[in-house]
Amino acid sequence: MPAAHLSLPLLLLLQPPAMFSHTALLGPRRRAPSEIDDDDNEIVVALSVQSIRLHRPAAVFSLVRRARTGGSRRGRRQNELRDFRSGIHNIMRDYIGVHGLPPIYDEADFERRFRMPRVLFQRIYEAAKDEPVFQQRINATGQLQAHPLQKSVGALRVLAYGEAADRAVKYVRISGSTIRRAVGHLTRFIVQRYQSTYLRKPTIDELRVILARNKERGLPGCIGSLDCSHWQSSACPKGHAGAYQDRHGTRSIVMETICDEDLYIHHFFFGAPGSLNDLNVLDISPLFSDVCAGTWPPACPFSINGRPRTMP
Amino acid sequence: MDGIYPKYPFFVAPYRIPVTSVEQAFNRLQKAVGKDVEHLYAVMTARFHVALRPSRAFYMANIATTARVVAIMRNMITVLRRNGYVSRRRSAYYSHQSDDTAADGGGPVGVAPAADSCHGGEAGGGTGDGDGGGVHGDGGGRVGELGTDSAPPTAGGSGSGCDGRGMPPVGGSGDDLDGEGVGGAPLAAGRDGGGRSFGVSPPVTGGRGGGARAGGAPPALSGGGGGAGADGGPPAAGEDGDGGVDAGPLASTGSGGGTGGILGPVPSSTLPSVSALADPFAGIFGHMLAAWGRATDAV
Repeated sequence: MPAAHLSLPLLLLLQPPAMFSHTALLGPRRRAPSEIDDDDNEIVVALSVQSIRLHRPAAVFSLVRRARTGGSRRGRRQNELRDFRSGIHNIMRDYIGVHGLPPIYDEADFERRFRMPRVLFQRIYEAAKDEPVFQQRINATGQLQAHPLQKSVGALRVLAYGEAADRAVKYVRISGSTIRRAVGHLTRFIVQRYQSTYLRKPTIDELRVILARNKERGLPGCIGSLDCSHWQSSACPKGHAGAYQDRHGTRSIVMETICDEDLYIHHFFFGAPGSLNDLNVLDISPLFSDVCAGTWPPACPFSINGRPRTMP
Repeated sequence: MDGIYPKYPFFVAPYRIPVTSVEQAFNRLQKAVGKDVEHLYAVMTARFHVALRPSRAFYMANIATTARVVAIMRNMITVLRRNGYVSRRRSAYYSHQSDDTAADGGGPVGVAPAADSCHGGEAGGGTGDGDGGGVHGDGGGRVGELGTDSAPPTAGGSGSGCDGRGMPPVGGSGDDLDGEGVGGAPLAAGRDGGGRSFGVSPPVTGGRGGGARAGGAPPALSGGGGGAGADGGPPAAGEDGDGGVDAGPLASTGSGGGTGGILGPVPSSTLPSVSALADPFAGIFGHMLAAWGRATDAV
């Protein structure tokens, strides 16, 4: 590690070396300087620095791989003193309530701002807050860094408002780069954690429900409506511009969706280049290959005009 | 499907030149049903504005991940809310479904008997303790997340079966107890209870749950086919009025209508609670986070 660790405050270094681990950084176990001899001081400092060198890089870089940013390097602008605590206080005051007071904003406000019910936010937060990136960290000077709640709120602001990552900096009190990183990790986490539950092909039991509902609407045997939509990409590389150029002249990506009456998405295929029309998108869609291979839909019987039929 | 798709056997094609009134009606119906997915694109972009604007991400993988997240969250919200949707209320299928589920047990992933799930719904309408139900809702939801549960999200059908039963929205504490006893079924009650234990809008959440159920009550609304749509709306609202609460079908406030989402047969007492895990860094805000942790038990 570079020399930054040598400039640790002396108060921290005065702890016994056995206690100088990650967790010991948290506690205010400080001994008065008068209790320690001068000879001990040098030994303690040397051992502490050594233990940091041995343990801290492994602990940090094995869990969280982050790019070396500017910040506390010589010649760079120093980090802002962001006051993380006020950010977490803001959030808790507004939506959770502090000091026994009710929160300022109610469920309706929460949903309008976060675009999801609060229970859903809590569920995602509870699942994501122990991810290495979201955990609260301690920097080299022993200061507590951003709380997972701040990172989650900042990331969801980006998703809900479609705004730039550093837009919420003033509210959640973490840096724009942290929010940007949180967005990436939160999206990947949500996909990895919830995709198998909330974005998958309907099972045969679900298919029965779908068929029954559509039968009642007048279309027996109908699974859902299929359609494609384009999502414009403003940062498309020049090399891909030809393939991704849609009929409006902008670069876009096609998503193919099947949803039901409740707008529950049963099939979602994203990533076809924008130059493809709906038919070509269907051709490369896993839905089409599954149907053609006979792996999906499962044989779910239904009847049309009294004639029994099965899924193709 | 519209014109561009080929005539595959798994596509329903409209009549090219509808002549008879039957053919015209069919085309009209098919167009109406096909409007669902167009509706979805509008709702998705309105819900999450990141999908409304052009994507700023450079890599395709990031764009795809974001799009999937929008779709997943959209589905999660749907599972939470679908029992309060208009389409559910006017659905004849769901007014009969509780009987079917109780009869053969092979209904759409009917985990709990429909009668019990009715009580679970009642608990949401009652003013009793929401905390116990919250814990149960916790269990059901988490099972679904982990994917260890065979009950799919669409199993909201079994929960919404109780909508059509027309139970009056007058749940008392006794109904609460009934609802809590049936495993994942009182998930709706749990969600509502969670909102209440959060201490945010105490009188509203429970009442809304009851109102949503009252909406589905009269089987007369289910006029069969898609034609009942216009008729189904206002009377449903009237039923809500009887329930004494405002339960707009797509009410954007609160956890209305219960969840009915992922119901699981696993008793929730065997499931660990995430918030029970110690957060080593929570000490500094411990007194505030404690409330958060309690509230998230119901998630």
